[in-house]
Amino acid sequence: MVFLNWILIGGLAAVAAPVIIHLLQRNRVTPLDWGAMMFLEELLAERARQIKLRELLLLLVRASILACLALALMRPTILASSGARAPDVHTSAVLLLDDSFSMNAGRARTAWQEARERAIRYVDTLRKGDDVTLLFTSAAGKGAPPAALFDLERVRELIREARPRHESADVARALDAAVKQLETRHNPRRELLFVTDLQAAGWELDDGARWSYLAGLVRSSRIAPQILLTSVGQERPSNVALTGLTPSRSVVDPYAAVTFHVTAANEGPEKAGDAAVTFFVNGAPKATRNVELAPGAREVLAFTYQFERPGSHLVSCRLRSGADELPDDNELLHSVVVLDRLPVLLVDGDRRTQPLASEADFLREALSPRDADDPTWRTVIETTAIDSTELKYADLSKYRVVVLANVAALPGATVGDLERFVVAGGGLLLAPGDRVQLGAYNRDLYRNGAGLLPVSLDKLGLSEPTPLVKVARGPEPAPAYLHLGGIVSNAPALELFRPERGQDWTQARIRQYVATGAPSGQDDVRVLASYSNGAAALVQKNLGEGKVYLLTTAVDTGWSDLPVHPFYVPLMQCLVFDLASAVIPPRNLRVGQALSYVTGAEAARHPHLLYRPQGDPLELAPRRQGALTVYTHDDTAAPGSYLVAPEGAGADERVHYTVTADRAESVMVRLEPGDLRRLERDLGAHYAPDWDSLGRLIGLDGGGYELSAWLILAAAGFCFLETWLLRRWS
Amino acid sequence: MTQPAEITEHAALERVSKLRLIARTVVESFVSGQHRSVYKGFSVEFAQHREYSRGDELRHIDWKVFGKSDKLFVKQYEEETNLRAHLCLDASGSMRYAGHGESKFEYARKVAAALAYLMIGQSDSVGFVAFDDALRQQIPPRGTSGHLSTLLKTLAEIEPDRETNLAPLLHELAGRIRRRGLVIVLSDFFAPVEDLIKALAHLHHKRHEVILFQILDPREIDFPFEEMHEFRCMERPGVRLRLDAPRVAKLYRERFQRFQERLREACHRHRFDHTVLTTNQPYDAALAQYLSRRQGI
Repeated sequence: MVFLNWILIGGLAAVAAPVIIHLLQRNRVTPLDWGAMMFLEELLAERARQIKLRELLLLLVRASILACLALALMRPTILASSGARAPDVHTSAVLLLDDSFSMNAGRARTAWQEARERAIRYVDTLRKGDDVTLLFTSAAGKGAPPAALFDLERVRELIREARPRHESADVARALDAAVKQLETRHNPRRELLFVTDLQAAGWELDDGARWSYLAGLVRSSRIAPQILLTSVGQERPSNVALTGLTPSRSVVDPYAAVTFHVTAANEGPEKAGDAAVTFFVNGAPKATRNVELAPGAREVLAFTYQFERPGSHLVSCRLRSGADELPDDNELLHSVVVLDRLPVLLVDGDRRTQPLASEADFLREALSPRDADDPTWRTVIETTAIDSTELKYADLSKYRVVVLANVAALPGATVGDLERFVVAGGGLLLAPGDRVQLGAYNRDLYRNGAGLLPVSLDKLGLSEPTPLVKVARGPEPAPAYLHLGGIVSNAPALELFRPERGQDWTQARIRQYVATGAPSGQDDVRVLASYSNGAAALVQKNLGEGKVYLLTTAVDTGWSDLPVHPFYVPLMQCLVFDLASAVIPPRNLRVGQALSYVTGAEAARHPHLLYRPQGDPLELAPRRQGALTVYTHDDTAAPGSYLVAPEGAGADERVHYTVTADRAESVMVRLEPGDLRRLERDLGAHYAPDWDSLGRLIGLDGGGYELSAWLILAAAGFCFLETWLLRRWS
Repeated sequence: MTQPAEITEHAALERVSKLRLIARTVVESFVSGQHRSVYKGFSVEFAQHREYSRGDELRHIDWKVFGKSDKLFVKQYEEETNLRAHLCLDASGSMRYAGHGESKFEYARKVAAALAYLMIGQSDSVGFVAFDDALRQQIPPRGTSGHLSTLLKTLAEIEPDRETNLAPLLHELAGRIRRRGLVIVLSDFFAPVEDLIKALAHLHHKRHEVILFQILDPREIDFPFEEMHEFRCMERPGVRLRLDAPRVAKLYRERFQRFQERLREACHRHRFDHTVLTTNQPYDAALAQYLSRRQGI
């Protein structure tokens, strides 16, 4: 039995009213001097028990009247024991439709069409007085839930109008929202019907904490909801998809070709022998590759291209295949920013007059090498070297990367400027040397983990020329050196230096380095590479939109022989490219992620238009933010290419954005029978693979009704009984 | 503050005068209704004849004897042969109860005064006993007009108090009144009925004529209360009962009627008169009952 208006449980306190009245009356008695006391004493002596019993009975009868009325207002209802619907019981239903990207799968009829039909058929089984809340996995649990509807025709209309989204499902979140929505409803029977393709990707059944919480939520419901799962679509449709498109370099320039790696995958059960991937730049096809994909296979294709001009470019890849029932995941796009110059500020803490005497000299040579044979040859990196004392006068906004090379210490104001520079998206490389003041670094730059320095610096010999870390000498006269060791974390900057890529940096000999403290455990700090003794060689810290690298040995020949090795130049360039790779605001977005465009005040005088994959161009509303103007567009539900450009602007001023659906939806693997049994056990959910079994689960069954009418009758009966008893005993 | 002795005495005299006035008014209005017939020769009993001598009242000459013997004899009446009545007044606390207006005791006091007035007016001897849980006042019977004043004064001064101990007192009274007489008891008779019946049997055994005037307040009969009351015992301070009066009314009335029936039955068995007087009745009902009984003696 359940109570539909359990919030009125406080009304049961009225049961105490007769007792309270009785107690109050006891205190309000009228005193009366009485002569014929013997009769009262006698009757009390004889009938005290009877009188008390009568009073108790009257009290009970009166309390029962109030209890019946209070209970009637709470609408107690006996539910059918089988869990099926009963003729006298109204239903509050939540209809949860899986509108994830994978519901588009299907040739003749998509899973979504089937889901819509089944949902409407389910609504047809509801009666007047039942209410339905229509939820979709893409929106459930985000913001306020939609209102429950009693107009069933309106529900059907909404189902017909709905379309699947290009987002992945978060089933646990959606079920959580659905159960909570049911808890707010008032009808005695609660049904939650989830129409889904049962694609395993959105369920995340391994996340035990979330599902335990959900099971607890269901168990704690006032009225246990009948949770029904029904599946639509094919068991495992054939699907080939493009799942990844990444450039080989983090900074693309017009001076060197860049390779785009495209991953094609066959997520279906059939072999795709006729697949072809075409590579496009700014909408023009540049190359096509055929690929043969076995079931479950993944193939990475490489397309190399050298951009001719700087600016925003759109790179896309399109896959064609006959064995495909979900064509929407056959295209991937990538917005590429091509830079013609990458300004880097080298701050020299040990400036010398001789050539190649300081760390900054080595870095300048590595980042902007000169070709003696071809004076016109250049790289994208443009270095500017200054003395550390000049740093406080430098305009950091002109640079993408700042390198502190053996800088002893920084004044507080400069540290603040650098922090703002990194937070806004800039890159900072810290390359220590013998001049570095450990205490000042830890105090001003580390600040117990809150500053720029990723880790604290433990040991640095500042007063004596002996190395900080003495390499133990063996019995032989040949000195034993440390070497660069393994790459311990995945980082784009170090991809080239993996042993499998042909670079062997372990030959480098390290005589001295700065021993560091352990990372604080924050997610934004990680060690990327280590020395052969396990000490940290390269540590990264993400700060705001930017990034900081700490190289724990010097970049000149003072502490190591790094500069004499061939990998030195590409390593330094890769570090700088990676530090400069942040594109702010981001231009490769996920479905639903807001799009932002930033420009200066001068350019903001012109209207800015947004060209979307579907629909007419849209004029964006400007918003001033300091000296900048920001344009934002939130509705990126449709994947594809977006373009922002000032009205009448040329190709150079256009900025490409891409919005991509989550490729986890391309994996067409369903929940296993064991998973369904687990759901049945933990949530009490019933699985109905088709309409017939679903109909059986919700079929009409006898039993179950509200008791309010009976309780009101009982209250009336108690009223009569009370009157009769009073008349009889008075 | 203590009242000066003169004032207290004056108040007592005023009470006595008032009581006498009431008694006389009651009796005379009653007697006028009865055409004064009640005064004729009830109060003396013939003892013997003696020869007439000078100074004897002519009205006492027995003319029948003179007609037969030509000698003058006068009838000699003995005082002992007069009716000796004992007015027994219950002065216990319960008699103080007054539902509306007059208390039971006040009513009983006036009835007793009227009876004394009437009886002494008929040359009967009237004694007086006041009791509560013990005998508080006892005045032997006499028939003089001065005795009436004594009785009225005693009646005016007595105030009800304390607990009733009626049955033992009636036993004691039966033992103390040696000569056969008329015992008039004015009480509410709120005492254990079994003990009361035994005490009445004792009086019957002593061959007394007994009239019981049961003085009640109408509320004690009807129990008309409509709400929760704390009933406080008038004889035993501190004894209190909180009762929802309507709820127990029926039971009370049942018990009261049963008590009355048993009392009436006992009186009938011993050929005692039992008259219920409610405080809203006129006092002459008591006189009528007395006279009716007196005629039967």
